[in-house]
Amino acid sequence: MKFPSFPRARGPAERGLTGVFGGWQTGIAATATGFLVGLLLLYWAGATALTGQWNEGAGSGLTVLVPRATETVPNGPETRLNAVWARLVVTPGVKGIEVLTADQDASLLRPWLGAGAKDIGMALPAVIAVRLDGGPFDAQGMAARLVEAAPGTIVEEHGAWSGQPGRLARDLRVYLNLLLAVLAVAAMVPVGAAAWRETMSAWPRVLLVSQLGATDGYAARSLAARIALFAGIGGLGGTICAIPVALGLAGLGTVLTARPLSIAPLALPPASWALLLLLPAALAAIGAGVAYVSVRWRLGRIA
Amino acid sequence: MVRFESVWLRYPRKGGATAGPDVLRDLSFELTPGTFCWLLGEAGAGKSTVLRVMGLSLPPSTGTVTVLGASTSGMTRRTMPRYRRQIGVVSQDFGLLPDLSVFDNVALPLRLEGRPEAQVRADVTEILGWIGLAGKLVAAPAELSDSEQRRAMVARAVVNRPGLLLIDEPAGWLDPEQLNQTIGLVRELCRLGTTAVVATRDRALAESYPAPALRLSHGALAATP
Repeated sequence: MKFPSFPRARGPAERGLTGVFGGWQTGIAATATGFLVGLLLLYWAGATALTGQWNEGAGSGLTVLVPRATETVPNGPETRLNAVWARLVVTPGVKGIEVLTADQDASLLRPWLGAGAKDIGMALPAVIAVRLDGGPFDAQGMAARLVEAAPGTIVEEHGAWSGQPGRLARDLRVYLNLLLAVLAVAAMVPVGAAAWRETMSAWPRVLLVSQLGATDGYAARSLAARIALFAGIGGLGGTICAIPVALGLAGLGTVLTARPLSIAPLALPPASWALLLLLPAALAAIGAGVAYVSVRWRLGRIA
Repeated sequence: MVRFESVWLRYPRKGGATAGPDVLRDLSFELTPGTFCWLLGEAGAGKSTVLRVMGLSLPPSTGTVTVLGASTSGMTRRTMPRYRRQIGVVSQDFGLLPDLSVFDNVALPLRLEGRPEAQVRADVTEILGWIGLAGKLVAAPAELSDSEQRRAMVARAVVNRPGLLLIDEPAGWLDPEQLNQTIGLVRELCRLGTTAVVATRDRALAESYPAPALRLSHGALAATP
């Protein structure tokens, strides 16, 4: 008898070995986790940016008052304001300088002088808002130089009263980071657990492909790849769903407070978005890692 | 080549300790390459256990088993897959994977060997055509009858022309014509060098296809080929 030979059929469905394993449970768990952690990440990033603004705004600014700003200095043609400006520009540690407009001055004086602050005809000093870069800064030395340029110039340092909010902002940031880490780890547990359950339910199939001659690594990789696929897709779906929900909640916050929020949810720093994109990859890695290690471990115990 | 030397087996219990009665008792025999051999015995005689030991699913408690020229005691989890790929098994323990089509189930041994996909397609369609499942390539195992599932398992076991072929109780799930066809296929493979062991309690079947036989009784050998 000859070994049989027959016409060949065409177009059979072909699927990889990973198709023999499940993955849905992990996908669903990853969707929920992706959503929750995504939301958490967005708010963490927003809150961190906000505390950063507090820190920067409160702790790193000072105000310079220049009386008789339009008068010229004794030794030259430039005005007292320009002389002070020229000194400020070259001062190390100064990040930005802004001379307040008449409207801004009036706004500052409104609590004391009322709506007519602009029209009282009093000679007001020019007000310069100075932003510092946050590094070490010699405010007294700068004040002395400014007084030398335009006698009578006053430098008001905010650091004395703003130190407390600045420290508060930094502490809040530390707590937010810790909270994010703890909640993120807690939220990842269901994905790992689902991957483990999936591995247990796929066990008879793992054994079968192992008996057919698959190496332990191949069997483990096949299952891990399947679970990574579902966890990644689920995580991506959950993360994407978190974005409109975060925006919706921000919109709701705007309605409830009747004013725009201090930081727009979509105006987050690029690093925050990168972190958000890494979330599905992290979920896929967790699912795959759990599946791979548990398959290798169980197969190793059979020997 | 398959050789059993003073093989004893007790099923291991949890924790690795052996317990319970001896399932195989002092088995010694040798099958040369290309042998077609019946493994006869009543239910509970130890036929399926012998097949599991030969199929590298179960290590013996004591004694030496040599399969495909290598002693099982020297095989590790790293080297064992290479030997398992050369063993075709048709048994209740080796069902089809329900999520794969018939084609993909039969293709598994070839894909595990890393054969080119064109060759996989050719070999699988050829064997499925020969075994009467040409129209079921894309069907799921659940869509097949019991007999068709068993035939698909036979196809999977022989598709890569294994060095050792183990079949457990074929008479229970094949009609006489399919049985005749399957035995013919197995004998042809033996002629090409495969060693085949077919376990059955049906003595009439063994007598219909004369070949050497190992007779098991309570785990011990009653007669050798």
